[in-house]
Amino acid sequence: MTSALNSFAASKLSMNAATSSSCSDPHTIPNCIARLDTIPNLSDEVYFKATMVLKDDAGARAIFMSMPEDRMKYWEPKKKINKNIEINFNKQPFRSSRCPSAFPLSLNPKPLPPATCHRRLPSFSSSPAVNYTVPSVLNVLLSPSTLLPATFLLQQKLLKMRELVTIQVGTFANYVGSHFWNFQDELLGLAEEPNGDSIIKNSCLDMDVLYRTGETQQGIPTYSPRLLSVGFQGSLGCLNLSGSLYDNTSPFDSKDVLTWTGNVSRCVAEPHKKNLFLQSLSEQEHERLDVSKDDSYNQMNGSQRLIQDKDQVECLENDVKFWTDFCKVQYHHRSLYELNSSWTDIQKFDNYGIGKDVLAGSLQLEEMNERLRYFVEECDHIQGFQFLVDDSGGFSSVAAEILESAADEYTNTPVMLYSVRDPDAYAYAGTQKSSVARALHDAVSFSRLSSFSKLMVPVGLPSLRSALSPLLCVDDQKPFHTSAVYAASIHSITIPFRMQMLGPATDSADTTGAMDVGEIVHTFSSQSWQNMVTILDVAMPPSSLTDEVKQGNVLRNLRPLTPEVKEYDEDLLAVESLVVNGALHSGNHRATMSQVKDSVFKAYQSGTSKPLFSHLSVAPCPLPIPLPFPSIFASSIGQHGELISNPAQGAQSRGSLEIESIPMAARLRSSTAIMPFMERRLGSLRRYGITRGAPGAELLSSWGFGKEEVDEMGEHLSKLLTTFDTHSQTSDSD
Amino acid sequence: MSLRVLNPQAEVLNKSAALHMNINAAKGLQDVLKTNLGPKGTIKMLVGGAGDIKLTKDGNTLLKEMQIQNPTAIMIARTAVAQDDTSGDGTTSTVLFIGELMKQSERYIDEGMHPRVLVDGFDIAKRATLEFLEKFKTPVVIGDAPDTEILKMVARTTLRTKLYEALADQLTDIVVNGVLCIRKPDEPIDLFMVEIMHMRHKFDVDTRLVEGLVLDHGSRHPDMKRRAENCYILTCNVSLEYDKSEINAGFFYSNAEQREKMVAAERRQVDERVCSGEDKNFVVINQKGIDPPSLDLLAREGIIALRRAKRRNMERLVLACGGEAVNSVDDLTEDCLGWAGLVYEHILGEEKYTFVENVKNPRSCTILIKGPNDHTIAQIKDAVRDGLRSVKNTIEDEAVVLGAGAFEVAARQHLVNNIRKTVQGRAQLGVQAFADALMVVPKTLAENSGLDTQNVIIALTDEHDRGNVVGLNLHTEEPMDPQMEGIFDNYSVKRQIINSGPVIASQLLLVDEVIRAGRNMRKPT
Ligand SMILES: Nc1ncnc2c1ncn2[C@@H]1O[C@H](COP(=O)(O)OP(=O)(O)OP(=O)(O)O)[C@@H](O)[C@H]1O
Ligand SMILES: [Mg+2]
Repeated sequence: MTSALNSFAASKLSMNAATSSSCSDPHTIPNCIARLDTIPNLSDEVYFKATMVLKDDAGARAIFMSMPEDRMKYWEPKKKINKNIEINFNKQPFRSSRCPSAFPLSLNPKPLPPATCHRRLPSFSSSPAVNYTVPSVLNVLLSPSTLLPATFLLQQKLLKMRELVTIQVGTFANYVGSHFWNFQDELLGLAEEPNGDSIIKNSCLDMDVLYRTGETQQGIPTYSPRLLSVGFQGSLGCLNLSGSLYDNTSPFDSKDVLTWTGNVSRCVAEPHKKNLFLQSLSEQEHERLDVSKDDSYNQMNGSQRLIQDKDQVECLENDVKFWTDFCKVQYHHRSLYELNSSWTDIQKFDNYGIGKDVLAGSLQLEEMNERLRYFVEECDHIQGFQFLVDDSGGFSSVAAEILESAADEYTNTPVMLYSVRDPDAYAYAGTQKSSVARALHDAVSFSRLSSFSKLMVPVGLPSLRSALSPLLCVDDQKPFHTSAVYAASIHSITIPFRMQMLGPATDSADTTGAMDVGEIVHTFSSQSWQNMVTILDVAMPPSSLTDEVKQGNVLRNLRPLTPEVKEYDEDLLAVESLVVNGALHSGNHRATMSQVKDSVFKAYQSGTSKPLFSHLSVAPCPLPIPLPFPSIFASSIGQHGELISNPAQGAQSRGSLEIESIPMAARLRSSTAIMPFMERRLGSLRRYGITRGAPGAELLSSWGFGKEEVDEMGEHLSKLLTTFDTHSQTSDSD
Repeated sequence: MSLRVLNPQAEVLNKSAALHMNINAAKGLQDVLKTNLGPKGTIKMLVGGAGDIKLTKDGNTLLKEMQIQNPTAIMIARTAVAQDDTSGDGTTSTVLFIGELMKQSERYIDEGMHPRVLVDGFDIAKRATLEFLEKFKTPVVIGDAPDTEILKMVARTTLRTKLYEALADQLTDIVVNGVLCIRKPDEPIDLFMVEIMHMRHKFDVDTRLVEGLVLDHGSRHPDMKRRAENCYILTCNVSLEYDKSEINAGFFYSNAEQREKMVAAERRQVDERVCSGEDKNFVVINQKGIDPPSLDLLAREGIIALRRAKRRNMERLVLACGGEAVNSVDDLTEDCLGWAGLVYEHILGEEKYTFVENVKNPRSCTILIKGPNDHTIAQIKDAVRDGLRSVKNTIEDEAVVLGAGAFEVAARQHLVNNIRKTVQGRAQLGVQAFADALMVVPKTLAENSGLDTQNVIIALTDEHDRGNVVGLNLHTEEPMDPQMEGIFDNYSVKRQIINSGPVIASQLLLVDEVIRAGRNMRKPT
């Protein structure tokens, strides 16, 4: 929070600097002074990039940079960057009263070689962006018209932060989201802790990507997720629809009815009781606001506190009814949207058609779009939308409608979509009829959701208990449990989007493989084939790099969270993006970035099947385990996610009380292994919806799909599959 | 709030039990809604499980807030909400009418009468009532300059059923002027061209009509002007940011050219301004994004720029300010520009508003609602929507209907005195049931005012039979002339209530068909 506010303050500072221009040029754009010294905590890298990006315009205009004396070392003449650019610096020092020390500089770009192509060459690269993005940063600068005031360059290019807007639709999506935001909240909280783990304190994750800074009418700054969450009316449990951040509503009284002088009748729904966890949360909140009172939690001695925590953890294990029951995040008052008028049983809200009906003829879609627009308008450089959709029922179509209008309104903003579902969604359908309905629903919703997104990641196994590593003991009956695993994996996947990027090709000492959503979409779509449906694999936790049994092979622990995929995948042309965060070297020692890189590289080399292309992102920060995280870890996992060699026999599963953080590895994979998943949906659509006399044709038309639309969906699905056909042909001929 | 009138397992019940279940469900829903009706009705304060509050006096909103599980109740609710979707009013009356039709039928069915016969009677009565409505309605001459007095009376009648009198009266002029502002002769009225905007403001309860537009966002550049007079307005849909589809090819400004062109074009205008010595300003309102570098360029030229405007505002802006919305800046001429006398920004916490005001000949306007909390705002907003709809309906119907129960009393007497005797056999009883059911409106109005219903009904029918048109005076229990009091309802609303009520009631009575119908009711047709 503080860091965000700092950078916010810094940007305001530097904007003031921009207006202090001196002389003019033919373009009436004043000279620019980049006051680097006004921005706190810039890394060396930033200074160096700044020297690259700022240039003068053939002498017509000078750009001056000011920086602290000790950064002068970056002003070496003729420094080579990436072989494409040479920078010449005029060594004449320039002194002005305003700037501590400043140099005019010039930059001679060389013509660029065409972007390197990765096609067909089995290769391994930590950052595919390297080969073509760096030079083009300079393209921006080549035309005088695009020469920008230096401070803006600093903000926009060097300290480039690209916002991500998250949209959660449906019950289970909100469960996953609730955990996801708990992780972020935990990271923010730990970063402020005076003697916290330094790895987390310097996580190098830019929270501004996911969060927005705001301000209440009382002028109190706020920092809240850039999020739109859509759920059922009544699914928020104890959480007030407009959150508590902006509204300190006093208890309401009939005399506060300002619009009516006649009778008032109250209909009071039975109040939801706050569980122990939420109670303690609101107590802490009150204490924070009311400084006069003693901070009783902090005054408790350690064992009292532990007991209290234990009770909280236990109450969550036993009784989570709503996703808000374990949520510790404060949401913006525009973030939570309830779908109204759904006079349906939640049990019956299980197909594509019902969701459509709920939206039809109401202003609800428009209201949701308005909320979304509010968050997008604030973004200077939105990198993409991140959708989490519970696709097991009517929410599929609600999401599809939102997606459709977003595609229309924000044409070039890429959408990354996770469809998530609870194991419960696979429960036995009962009748022939309802199993046909379900198969059709799956086909239709997959077809619709994929047609409006750029990258789709189906997530949600029938059982997590059996499918994942023995280190996890997940109770399939509890969405509180299952959603935690998915949220942890999605958290890892988003890490590259918010690594603090200094410029496209720079790696800082700790992180590597920064990407934005556009780049990851491109990574999958421009490689061997244009498949946009990827598998999510996770190792939670991955073994340490020196682990003997697994020979330190991070890859070997990865298990798919995507259902219906081929288990053994010999696809030589697969494309992957792997994220490893907080990996351990041995015991509970954290691995350095290069150790992780080496290890992964080795694993790929020794592996039997290599993907065609792999992108690796490494970050030092492990997954923090917040208090309201389920106890799903085996007793052999230690405080930092390391394997304990002799765990207590028969011990129970462990959770947030015992474990502070765990390393994670997660991977998106585009390979032929996804084909069964897609084929099954195409098959269902053909069998039950398209063929002559298909048993589900009537159902589809009651969902509002005419024959033509159904055919179109079929074509869309088979087109998604044909990318694999052409591919297997070419690989045969190779 | 949950309403579980009866066991939802309709299928397993036998026919007669199912019929009674339907009747009870309809009566149950009627009981929930009846206190809402009219200017003396009760406002409902719904407190949710998390202590969140919704206030509503509107049948439509109330129904949507309820978690209804009973299939019969759902069917009635859907009909009532469909009523609101098409005509904007009359939800409560619809529910009451259906409930009362069922109640009246119950008597006869308990005496052994077959529902089919009643339904036949309903059919006849419905047709007769609709014919009677044609005779009874008060025509309104619209033409080029509609009679604003009658429009105001209709709007006031509606608003006073939702807001206390003084507040309703303040809004009356606003909604009438709002609709007249956007009305184009011989074209359907598009109420979306009246923007309804709200501001949460701690101490203020105030609503005003802005001739022009209020946008809920502001400029995103620190150096941009916050206020400008005599403004040329460019409404456009042009991306002024990095082209993200090209993102992987680098950060090349694929549309730097566009931005340049626009700045150049605007600058030309600026130059002209300098030459002519006039004091003009420029405002760009863009539907697409504008990134900070572009904002900076514009700010340097003294141009105010807003990004991500609502799609509908593109249309509204052009109607309010003139000019045209452009999709590219290639051939920008002065004709594309609109004009506003004043553009300024208003900031409340993190919320920014931009006012585009003092326009010439506005064809779009904004109703700006200020209130201290969300439920007050929502309440006023709903009322404004109802008011706008009532004015639009009046203009399009070219007619109104006398309210305060006047129509219902007259229609009942017509059915009982003139129609019933023309009907053969027991279907007469269906006509009688229908006629009595109409009286639910004046009865409930009286009940909600704390009056004696019996007395009221007798007084009304007596006065009617003396040959007068009478409505109910909610204060005195005396019959009165609604015309004198200026109480008018919408013709199309009345018409639809008469139409849809018996359809649903008949379905519910012919119970075999109910269950099938219940399933098909998802899509109101
Ligand atoms: N001043 C008045 N005196 C008597 N009756 C009135 C008066 N104003 C309105 N009414 C009557 O009140 C009824 C409308 O009430 P109300 O607007 O609460 O319900 P509705 O239109 O059926 O449903 P809703 O507005 O909730 O969709 C009409 O029958 C109208 O004639
Ligand atoms: Mg009304």
